[in-house]
Amino acid sequence: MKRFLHVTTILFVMVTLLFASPTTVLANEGDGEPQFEMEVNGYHVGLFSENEWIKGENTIVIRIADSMGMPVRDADVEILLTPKVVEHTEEDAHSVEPSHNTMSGMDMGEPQPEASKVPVQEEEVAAPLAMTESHEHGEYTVTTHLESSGEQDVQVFFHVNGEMLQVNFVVDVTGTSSKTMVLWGFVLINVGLVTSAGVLKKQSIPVKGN
Amino acid sequence: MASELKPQNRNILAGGNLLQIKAIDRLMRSKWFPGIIQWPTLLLFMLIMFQLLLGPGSAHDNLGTALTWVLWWPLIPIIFLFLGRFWCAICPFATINDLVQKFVGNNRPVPRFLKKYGIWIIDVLFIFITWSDHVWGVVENPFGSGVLMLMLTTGVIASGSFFERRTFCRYVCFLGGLSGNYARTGMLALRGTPEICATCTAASCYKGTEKAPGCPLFEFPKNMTSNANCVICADCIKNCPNDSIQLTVRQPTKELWFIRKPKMEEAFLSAVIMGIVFVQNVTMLEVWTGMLQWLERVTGTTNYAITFSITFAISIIIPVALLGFASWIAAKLNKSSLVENFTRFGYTIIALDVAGHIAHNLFHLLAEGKSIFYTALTLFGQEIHGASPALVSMDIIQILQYGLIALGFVGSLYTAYRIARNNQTNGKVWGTFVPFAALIVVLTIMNVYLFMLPMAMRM
Repeated sequence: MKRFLHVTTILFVMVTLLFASPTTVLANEGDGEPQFEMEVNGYHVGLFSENEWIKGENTIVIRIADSMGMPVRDADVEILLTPKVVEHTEEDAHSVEPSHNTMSGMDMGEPQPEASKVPVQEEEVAAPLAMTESHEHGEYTVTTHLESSGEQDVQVFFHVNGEMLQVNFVVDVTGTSSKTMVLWGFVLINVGLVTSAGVLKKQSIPVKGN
Repeated sequence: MASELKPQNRNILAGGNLLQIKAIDRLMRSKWFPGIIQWPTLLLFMLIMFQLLLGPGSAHDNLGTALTWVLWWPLIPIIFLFLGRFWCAICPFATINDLVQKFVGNNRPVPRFLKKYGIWIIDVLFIFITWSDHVWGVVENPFGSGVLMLMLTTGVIASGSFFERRTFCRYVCFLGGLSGNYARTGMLALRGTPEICATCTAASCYKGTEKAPGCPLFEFPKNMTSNANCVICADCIKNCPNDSIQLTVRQPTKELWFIRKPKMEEAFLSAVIMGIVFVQNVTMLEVWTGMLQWLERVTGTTNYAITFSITFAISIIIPVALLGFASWIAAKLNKSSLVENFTRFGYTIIALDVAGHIAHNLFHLLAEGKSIFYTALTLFGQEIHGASPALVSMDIIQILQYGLIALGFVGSLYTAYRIARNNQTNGKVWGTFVPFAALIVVLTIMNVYLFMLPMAMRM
């Protein structure tokens, strides 16, 4: 039993150290609910990144539902991410509230989405990325590398019932992750607690002869 | 000699001692119990933490989310009903507490304010955690769920580092408060044999021996009248030199009929839990979006924290106010005060709380249960596309939900009657019972109505 206890303790310490590894955390952290949501032509489009919009690898997810809330399946969905152009700022003025399902304390980028029913911008230099439907109906994903931090224009194009619809979002890509800091914070607090308890315990052991 | 005083060979279902069964007795006295369940649970917890904090960011792809909110959370009230607070004996947070305490524990006495206000702290924490789940999306957000677990881990590490036994579990843990209330409806009871304990001066069950530590939740089986703070860890069974401890099966809700020292904070918590069950149901309904839009128009703000807080407050105030109103009417009919009635009869709601809680979570367990399998497969690189996560049809789930609410209704109604009968010596039993019976009817109708409306899924 004692040996088992020691093995478990070592495992616990290893997992704690793993939590403390920022590189591992950066690759996986994220949120499950759309951070940005828009309506276009009766279709509800939700956008989120599994990685909290950080510089580097991001798995971007788009959810599309029709006016009845039913997921839109087998649609051709493409996404184009470009650093935000300055002259767009005035056009993107009307911002909306962030989704109520985000972790408000986690420094999510403030969303500034804009919806319109317009033809695809032929003059875009970068090519849009095709998204693949995930095992969830109406959910499309793509993994891409974001080269820079700061505000990014995210254009989502989807073909449905013979027409092409477009939704524009603006997201804030962060260079560092606040979640890593949260994990480090917990590690430090807990190590501090255990260390101080250990020190206090040693001090309270009575010395022989006293 | 002492064991002769123990009732022997009685039928288990008629309150006979389960320790008469050799296999159970041997298991309870084994040095491997409850460690044999406790340590695998801790390992599973580590996997869950790993998934929540480092796994897929999307809740419906995350095994940690599925194991926590689709499996564990729905199973927990069912465990309380059948095994009392046994979960707390094997809870990974408690194991971490014990582990830290073993190596660096200072074993200081429980702070006085915790003893005095512990249950109120639990009440506030429970309300805050439920509120924050909705406002910050803890359940839908694996990392958020992970942070909640880390906060609890920090709490038990702090407690285990400085304070004796399981101070956190007894006085701070919000789930401990919930389980304490629910365990009162539980079918398992642990008690000392009064005739044997009366002559005992050793108190090994409380202090501990070389065989096992003393009661982790500061209970003294000699005086125990409730299972609210017994985790069935069996330490007292191992420690008792007189073989006095009995483990018996009892009728569900029986303990609620004879609460000797009812506490306002526990009665309040039972009404709060009913409100929380309401709010959990309401926010999952498909009509919730419409309600939210109406609230936004009325309040003039689209800030979800504000609109949800209003809904949350109303949901909690409704059962508390109804209990207060029933207590006020009863006070007109019996000689007790409103506060006395509130405190005494608040416990009647617990059976309906448990039923409502299980019924709500049954939806997650049965309508989303396969997601545990699907998310586990993703760990091995396998993905299942477009498959339903439901284990059974929605019709079956609804029938089970109504059945559970009906059982809860009967349990609460009978509890109200027994409490009225046990506390009214002036012949005002029916005058006391009727207002609380009406309260239970109203709460049951509200529950049934909420379960009739279509719900949205979690995974």
